[in-house]
Amino acid sequence: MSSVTADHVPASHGHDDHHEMPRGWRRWLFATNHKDIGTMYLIFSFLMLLEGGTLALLLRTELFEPGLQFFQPELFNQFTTMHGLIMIFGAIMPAFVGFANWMIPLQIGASDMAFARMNNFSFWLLPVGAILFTASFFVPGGATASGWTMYAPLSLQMGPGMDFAIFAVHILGASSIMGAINIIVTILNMRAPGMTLMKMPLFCWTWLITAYLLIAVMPVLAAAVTMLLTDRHFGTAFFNAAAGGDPVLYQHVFWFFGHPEVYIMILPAFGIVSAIVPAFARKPLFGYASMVYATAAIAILSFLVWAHHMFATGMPVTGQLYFMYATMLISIPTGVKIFNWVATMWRGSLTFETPMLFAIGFIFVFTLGGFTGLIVAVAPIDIAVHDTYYVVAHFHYVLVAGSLFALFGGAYYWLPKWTGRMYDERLGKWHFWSTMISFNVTFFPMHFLGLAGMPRRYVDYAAQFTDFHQIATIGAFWFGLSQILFMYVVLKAYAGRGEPAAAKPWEGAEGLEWTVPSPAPFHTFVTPPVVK
Amino acid sequence: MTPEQRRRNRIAGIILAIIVIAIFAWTFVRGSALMN
Amino acid sequence: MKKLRGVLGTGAMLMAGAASAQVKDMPGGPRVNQLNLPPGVTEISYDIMWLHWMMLIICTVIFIGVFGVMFYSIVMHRKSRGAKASKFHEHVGVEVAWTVIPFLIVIAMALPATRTVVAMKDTSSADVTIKATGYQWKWGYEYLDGPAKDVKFLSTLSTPRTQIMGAEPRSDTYLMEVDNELVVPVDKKVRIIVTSADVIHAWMVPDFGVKQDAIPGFLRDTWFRAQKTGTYRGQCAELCGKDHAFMPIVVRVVTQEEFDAWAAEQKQALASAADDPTKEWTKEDLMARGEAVYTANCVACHQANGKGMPPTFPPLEGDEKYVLAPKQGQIDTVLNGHPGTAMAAFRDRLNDVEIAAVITYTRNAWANAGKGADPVVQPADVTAQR
Repeated sequence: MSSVTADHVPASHGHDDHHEMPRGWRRWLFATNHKDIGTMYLIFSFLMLLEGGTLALLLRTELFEPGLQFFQPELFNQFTTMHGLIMIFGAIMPAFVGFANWMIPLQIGASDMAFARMNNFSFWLLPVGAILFTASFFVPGGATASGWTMYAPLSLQMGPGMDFAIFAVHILGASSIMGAINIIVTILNMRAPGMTLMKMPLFCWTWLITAYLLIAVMPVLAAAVTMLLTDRHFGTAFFNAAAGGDPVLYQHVFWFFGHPEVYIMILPAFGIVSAIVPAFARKPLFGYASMVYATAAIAILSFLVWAHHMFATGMPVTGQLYFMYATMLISIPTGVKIFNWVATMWRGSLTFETPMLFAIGFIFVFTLGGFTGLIVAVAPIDIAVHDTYYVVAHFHYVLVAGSLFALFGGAYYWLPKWTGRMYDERLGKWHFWSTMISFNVTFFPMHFLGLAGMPRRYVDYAAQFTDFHQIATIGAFWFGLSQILFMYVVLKAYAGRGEPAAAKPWEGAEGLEWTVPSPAPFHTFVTPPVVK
Repeated sequence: MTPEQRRRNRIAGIILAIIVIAIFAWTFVRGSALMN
Repeated sequence: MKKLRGVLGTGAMLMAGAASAQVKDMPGGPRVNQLNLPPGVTEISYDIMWLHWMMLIICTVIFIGVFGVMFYSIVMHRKSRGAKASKFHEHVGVEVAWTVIPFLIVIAMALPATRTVVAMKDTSSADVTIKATGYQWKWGYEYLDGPAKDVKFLSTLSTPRTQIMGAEPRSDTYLMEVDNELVVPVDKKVRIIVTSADVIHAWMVPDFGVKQDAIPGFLRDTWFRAQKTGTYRGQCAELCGKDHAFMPIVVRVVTQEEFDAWAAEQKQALASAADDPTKEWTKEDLMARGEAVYTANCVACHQANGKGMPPTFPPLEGDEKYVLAPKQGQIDTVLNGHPGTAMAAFRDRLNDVEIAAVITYTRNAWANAGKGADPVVQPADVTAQR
């Protein structure tokens, strides 16, 4: 939490005439300060991580053994669906927006975001969406059980829980769009003098590009789920074949959103890792310009590959081939980024505090996920593993070991700036190793399950798959418990128990955020710094 | 923020909002055209 | 990471030894703790396995290269070792190389893959064509040509509920066994035309290297040529509702002679079982037949006791809207379903005798006996409403 006491930047031009600092609940409900809003985003996303994680543990419990022990199949499908929706829209995306809010103004030397009041609205929409998701479990018929992808016509059969989910997606989508507009305008218009685009920290670049992806595809998702809504209630027949519609149209529209969406969830992670690795290698990021171009290339290519999620729908040969080639191409700029991080480490002077552990862990495990992505890009292989646990393994490697590890790394990296305290390094390392190992125990066996033919979204399975499921369930519980440790480390730092942090606690760190005190004062860069 | 800064921000924001709405509308139009 | 995999592998094998001493490899299905794709019994499945090995080997080599460098750096370039940081931060030559070389590798990967994609899509000149229809929650097969032309039947999971609930030990073909298997001849190109009657399903048989989404309102196709006789098992591979995990696919590949004999048998059976919808059936016959139809088609949602699972699956016992009301409403419901709900249309799945029987059964079973209008519905009533 930023200090509320007198740490205003020296008021050389009568700054005290602005509003009095609000206190109590008003400070948070009416917040327009990017640090406060960033903090709220991060707390919200962590709570959603716990809710989504609980759903995962529930379904993994049912999957510990073949047969039906605890839950009816329909309820199980609700858990699977809501786990995905809550993790994506409630945990990962808001967490990255929280980082954007906290760090972008600090990194570009701006006093706040471009649209501070819209920023408040963007945040407060989130609990509304979360309540709709959660409440959907308690309406007749329960939450939607259509899978997070909500394919028609199955989603047209679902009860009112589906409508709750549709409205939640609308609301969370609106929040994301407003957040993205805010980020673009802030980065383009409010950089300190001398901070050219090619001098910005890579985290700002990755967020700038991500924000463009968001405004391009969130409206498409909004349209897709609106079409579901009108098909369900208002007599349209977009996806109802009997009435002249096409179920596959839904898939095209959804994945046109869905593929860029996964890059929306990983590009900011690339930005965070690109901040941490140079800091702990005490060496500049290798190939800054290439990193910018590679990120842009990944973003552009991400619009051109959506149907690789549809290889089994019966596309003509040309379609299969084109989407296979385009998808395989994305591995090139992604590989460039990985090589650049390793080259940053090469001949550096490395130390391995917790942020660096997570960053290296990210590079290691995300690359594994990247390899399996390349493997499923090969259409004939995808025909064998589509809709099996192999895909589940792939996307958890890139989203958990990818996005989530980067989020953890960034949290440890910037926690001293946020709280003014050094977090407990020993516990941080325990959190890392426990998370890293339990993650692999949970998800590595899923590759085998998928190759052997175990389909996804299955409440029950052939007995031959039992051992790997048991390993995965044990790993999942271990992974879940490990996150309690993270919560403890963060709360401990916020409670003020830890060494006071210097303005720049990390020897090799670069960036304007390290020129302000720790914790960062409520108002920073009221006068823009001049960047040489 | 100076008033000039605010003005520039507002223009940028409005342009982006128009882009968003256009994409939303385009999806419906294109989607309908692809049917039947 | 490799050490971790070794530990995991050993652990898995130990557990395999202990926990699954009873479970054996599934004939035609997954082996216990299977690690890799099955080589299968078709050229396509073999190609897929080969492509996967190629990708895995290339990725492993790159992995060792990249992480060898990174691991070396972690050890040798530590500050605690006294390493001093260099200042270099770009090198055009290296950057061009590690863009161009991966590009060439990707092209090399795409070439054999292209061959297989083209082969997988070529469904022309089939020897046998079969239509597979996905239902919630079973498959229907209809032979469109060849010796078995017009043979059609439903293929439903045959694993007993007691095994699913854990009251009985599970067989080696648990969840991947059906009452009526799809029978095809060996070494013949079999074309499967795939569609659905309700939501999207997917027809998958790993040993054939086949997966094709079943999309309502559309016909898609796929093909296989099995090179070995035997029984091969697959499962539905697209989320289709609550019993998605309970609608497997079993294909028995037999010699051409065996196939011809089977086809003749099936046609015989169909002819003699043909129900005569014009004759007048007794209430007892309708009830008996109706109970069998109900158990095979309605129990999943409306339950054996007729109480359903409201609100999604309404109860039939005491239902004033359709079951205890004049018969036209219920006949229409069973024939045409209720679009927008889970109630499917059964007009193509059940004949007039079966529909009349099951409706009569629901009108007289449980606490419905003696209540409501039209307790007996004749097949002719159903024909009239088609």
